[in-house]
Amino acid sequence: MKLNWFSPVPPTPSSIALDTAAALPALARQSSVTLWAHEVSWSPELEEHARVLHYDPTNMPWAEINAADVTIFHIGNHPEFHAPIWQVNRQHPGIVVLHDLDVQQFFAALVVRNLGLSPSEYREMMEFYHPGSGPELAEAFLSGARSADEMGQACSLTGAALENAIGVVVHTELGRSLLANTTTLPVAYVPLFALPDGAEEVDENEQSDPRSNERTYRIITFGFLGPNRRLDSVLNALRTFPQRHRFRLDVYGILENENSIRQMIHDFELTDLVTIHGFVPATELTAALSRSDLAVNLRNPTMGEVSASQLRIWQHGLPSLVTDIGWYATLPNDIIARVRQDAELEDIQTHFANFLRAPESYRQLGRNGRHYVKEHHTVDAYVRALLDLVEATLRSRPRQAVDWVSGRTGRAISAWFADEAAGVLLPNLAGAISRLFDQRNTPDKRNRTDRTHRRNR
Amino acid sequence: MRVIVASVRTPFVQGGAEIHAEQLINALLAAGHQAELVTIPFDAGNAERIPDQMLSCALMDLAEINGATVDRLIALKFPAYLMPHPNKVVWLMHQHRPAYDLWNNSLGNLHTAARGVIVRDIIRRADAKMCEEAKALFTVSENVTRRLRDFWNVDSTPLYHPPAHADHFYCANEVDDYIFFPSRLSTNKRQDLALRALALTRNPVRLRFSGLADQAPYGEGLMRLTREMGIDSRTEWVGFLSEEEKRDTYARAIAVVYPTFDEDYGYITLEAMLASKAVITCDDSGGPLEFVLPDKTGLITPANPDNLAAAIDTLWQNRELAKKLGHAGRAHYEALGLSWTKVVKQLLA
Repeated sequence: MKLNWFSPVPPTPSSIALDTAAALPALARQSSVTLWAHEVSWSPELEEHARVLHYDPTNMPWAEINAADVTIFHIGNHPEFHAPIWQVNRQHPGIVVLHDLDVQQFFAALVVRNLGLSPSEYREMMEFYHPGSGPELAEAFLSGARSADEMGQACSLTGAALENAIGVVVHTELGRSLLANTTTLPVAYVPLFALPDGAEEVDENEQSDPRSNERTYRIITFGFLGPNRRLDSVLNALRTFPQRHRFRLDVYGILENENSIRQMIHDFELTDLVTIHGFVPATELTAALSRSDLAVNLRNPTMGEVSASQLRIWQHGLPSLVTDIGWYATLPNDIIARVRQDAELEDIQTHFANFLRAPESYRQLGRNGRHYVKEHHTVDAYVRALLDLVEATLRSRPRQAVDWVSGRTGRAISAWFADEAAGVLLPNLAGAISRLFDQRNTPDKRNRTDRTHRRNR
Repeated sequence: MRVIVASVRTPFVQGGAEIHAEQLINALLAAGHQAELVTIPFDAGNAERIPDQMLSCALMDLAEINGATVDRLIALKFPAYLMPHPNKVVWLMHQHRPAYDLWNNSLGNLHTAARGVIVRDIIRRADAKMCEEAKALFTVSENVTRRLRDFWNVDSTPLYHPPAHADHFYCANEVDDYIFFPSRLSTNKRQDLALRALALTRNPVRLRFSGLADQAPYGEGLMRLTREMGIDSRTEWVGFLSEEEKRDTYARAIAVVYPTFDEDYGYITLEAMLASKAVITCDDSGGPLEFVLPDKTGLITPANPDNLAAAIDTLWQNRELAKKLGHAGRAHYEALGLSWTKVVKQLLA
């Protein structure tokens, strides 16, 4: 099987890039992969497992692309990393690996940063996928009255990311079940795998610390740290926590609002306790994780997908505080410590206090997490599930054709009759289209008609 | 019978397909039937629009017009053959080749389109359905029949027909110093191959090209190639010729060169034979190979400039041989017994 794979690639500072590099050997054992990179240079190791080609979304070598059986597009919320991938997917259908179900921030950033989505296209997108509140919220965003953060819950724009999808991969069961109710595309839950990062196997006995009443503990938070990662709340919790001197907070990764966070650390008089390290090489982060005692991995709002950071935390057997939301809310109780959305500050401080009182019970969460990740999040399982979806997608190709032709034709008809056309004309049209195809492979007529209508509203 | 001939037409392009349809209509009328040509505009250059055009045809039900039954629909081309009719007969000039043998071929364009795969799948699926619906499946040549066998896994019957104005072709008593290449200027006709061969000939061969370019860039490229190879003085581009001018140009030519790629049928070959001219063609030229008897009515060479140049030199140097092959070609044409009466009889059976 031949696959096209569109993803950020190392050394781009993206966890999705690291996932790609880590999945490639296992993927290449079962398929022939062409890795398409928008980056002009990439880690040479990638070429041991795949043909790596640079692409320009405005000048694609379609004959090369069409030589593969399936094209896989990784869509996440980072605008620079994923805009070119989305631009190619706009032109060429493929399986979309949706790293976040809520992609409002992604599309909003494309407009703001002029990355291939115009304000009018954004308006149309919001109106089409969220006909209720979409138009008003789009205007509010474009006029600067609302931020993309605020709009994600109401208008996730998930459908827009799947506009040209022929199959969808999500990394949570929750995401799969949500999408299964809203799309007729093949959708697969493909558990994200933990990256091999040299996490040391820590002897459980060595972790109990007889002097735990006296020592200080290192807390770590890392990744792409936007407002939804709640670093401001963690700093607030530390500021008013009486025993804050028992903790040191290490912040690794890219801070979206670094200046305001630094100001906050200064204002809260936490400069001795909090260190911002910035983006560091993977080995340095691994070492930092190995030195840490507790991880904070909050998400509010959540973008709805599994956190690669969380898998890494578990690999290191670290206990972690997570927001009780989205994917995290579906996790077993014995592998994480929950922070309620509406009692964030209170819960963080309660966990800090409980940790100091009984660190061993938290360490057990970390150990349980390590077992969990080994059982559920392996590269081989990831590749197997992904290729199963590829097979299912290939089987559904006639259906994709029906959908596409229906959509194009429906647009012409709805221009004449708008909504009145749906009940009368489209079933007849669907009949004509189905004549072009083998009846056995056409989808249920009612669903197809409904979908055509929905696309053409 | 009331007969509709269904075809497609690319606006601003005139070629063998249009002549073919017109001749069939004339033959049907001559046989006492009512016949009308129905064409839809077709643009294969934009992949995304192809399914739209297919759907237009699929929605065009011509079984009855003004309350009167249409007895037979004879479809000649993709996607006109998707028009529904209870008595549909397909006499196929060719499949939409970019979805088949020209997929991943530089002469095709579908594989270079962003949605090429899905459009290809749609075409293939619709074609398969058409094969089930058609009452009978004929092709214009054995070459097209072979492609249908290869790609559709169906049997079909080749049905040869005479070129237009077959009775008016003649051979002049004296020939002029040129070898004739009559055809649209088009990538698959390979005028560029003929130019490269011309540059390698050992004799002061002159090539006369007629026809207009399908696409301006190809025509411009040929002119550029001519200048670059320094063969301007040995090439002549006469553009569009009237039927009389074309027959006259055939009549006075030493021979005809037609190195086309995998042609469906190739009127040029038959016209050359009618004009008693030897035909130089290539071993991958498709349709012409069904009519050119190697070293008896023409020369068949590998499709490269060296071999083609050698063949051109042979006939340029040996005019008697060219004449002999040409006359044998005319005799061979007569022996084939091509007739519109036979064609009409089979299509309406």
